[in-house]
Amino acid sequence: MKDDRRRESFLGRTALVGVGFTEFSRDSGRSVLSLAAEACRRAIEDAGLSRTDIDGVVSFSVLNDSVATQAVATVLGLPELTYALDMNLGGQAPCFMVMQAAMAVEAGLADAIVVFRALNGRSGIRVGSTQFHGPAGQYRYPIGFSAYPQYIAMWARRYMIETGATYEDLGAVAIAQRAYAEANERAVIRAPLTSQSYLESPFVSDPFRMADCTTEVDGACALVVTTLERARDLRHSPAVVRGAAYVLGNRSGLDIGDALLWKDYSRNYTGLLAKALWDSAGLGPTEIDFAELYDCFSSTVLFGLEGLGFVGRGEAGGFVRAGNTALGGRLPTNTNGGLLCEGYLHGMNTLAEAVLQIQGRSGERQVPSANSCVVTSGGMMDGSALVLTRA
Amino acid sequence: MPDVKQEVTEAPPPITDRDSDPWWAALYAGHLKLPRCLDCGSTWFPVTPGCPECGGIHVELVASTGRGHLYSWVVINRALGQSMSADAPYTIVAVDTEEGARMFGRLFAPSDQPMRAGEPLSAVIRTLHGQTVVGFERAIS
Repeated sequence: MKDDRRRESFLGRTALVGVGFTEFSRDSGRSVLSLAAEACRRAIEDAGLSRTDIDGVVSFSVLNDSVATQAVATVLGLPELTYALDMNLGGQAPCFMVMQAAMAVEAGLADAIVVFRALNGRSGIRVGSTQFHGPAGQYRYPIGFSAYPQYIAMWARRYMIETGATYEDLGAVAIAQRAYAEANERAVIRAPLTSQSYLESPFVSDPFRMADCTTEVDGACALVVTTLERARDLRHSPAVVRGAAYVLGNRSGLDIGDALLWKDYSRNYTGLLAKALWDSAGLGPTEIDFAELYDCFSSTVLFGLEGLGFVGRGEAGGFVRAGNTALGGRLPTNTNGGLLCEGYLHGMNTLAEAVLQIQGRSGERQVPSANSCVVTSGGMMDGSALVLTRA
Repeated sequence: MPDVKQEVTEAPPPITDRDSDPWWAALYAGHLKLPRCLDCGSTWFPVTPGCPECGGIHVELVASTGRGHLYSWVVINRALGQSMSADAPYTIVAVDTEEGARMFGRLFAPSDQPMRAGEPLSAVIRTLHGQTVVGFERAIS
């Protein structure tokens, strides 16, 4: 039975060891290739490795907005690759990329793999306003239904209808994350946000206001994946890949923005992969110290809290409003300010924050006993998740 | 190319395909149709060359009554592109038709009455910025 499999081949035996960022900005003035190379170079150095130790590169792009792993390997001067993977995905990819890299190093296909996301997401190709070429776009673009703030608002509205969640519940997510962003120099949105200023701000696509939406940025982020055995000898303590799951739900549509065939807009993929994720880790929600939940929009945090079983159906808004996701709360969540504040690196930075927290390197926003966490990638029909722990 | 600045385009004519061409042809002729599986009987949208419920390959287009119920909606205050921006604010509805398909449409002739999940709506075929589209009207006005 697939559901009973512990995936022991790579779980508990692989780890994330290095983190690299470029600056996040509204106009980098640089090529995507130069951003990608900088983030990878920094991640390799941060791990305590050198370019000659790296023999695998994994990345993803959407709408052809990034550069090939081949190009990055060339620019970094990597001797040769024995593993390279270029995926055509969006925000569902980061945890899934780590799964691929972890399987590859565990299988002996490579020793150390750098995984990255790089894009000029603000000054170049903007996912938020570029048309997908898939076969479902013809039913939405001509009516002016054409971007993620609109698609996911449709889901948030249905969630509000079914659970009684309110604008204040959405706002509570944005406000809680803004408090973290004030302590994060990398975040591009850091001005304080109050309940009053949130509610007084205009709608972008009702029920979303600007503060409910991620902000597109230029930048890159990279991580290094290797075996736990190798990781123990490196510069920082390893973030062990303890649990992992990916799911593409039934009737998931014709492109990554197409929800016409998806039946229930009040639930996303997180509920579909939760059991496999927790079973694979041998841990449950009560044993998790903090969470980094994909938040292209505020509502997806509520979906993630409920889908993964941290709270019951319709309870996520109250959970956030009561301060449980703040530092010192029961489940500190999106401790970098999330994609809402740090910027839209498609969840690669969400994963990087999890690694920094597990390694105890998050400074003012460090969770005191950050021994275990859950990370998610994706907001709608498909996505991936990891459970990371200290060694 | 990842480094090329991409401008927000005006809504171009829909990129149709060989699967959807018959559906658009019917729409241009004033008929709203939906794909139905001859094997399991389920009806869905959009047009696909196989049944999402049973994988059956015998798909026919059947007439829809156009009647349905409101599943969800979004009010778009900030739109993309010049022509859509001129329309803003406008409402996009997700409607479950009585045949069992979900469709998106522009809400035409909105009223001041608050929107209510489950309320009845009827499909209309309209021209929007030069393009034939499916829209919906509220039964409650």
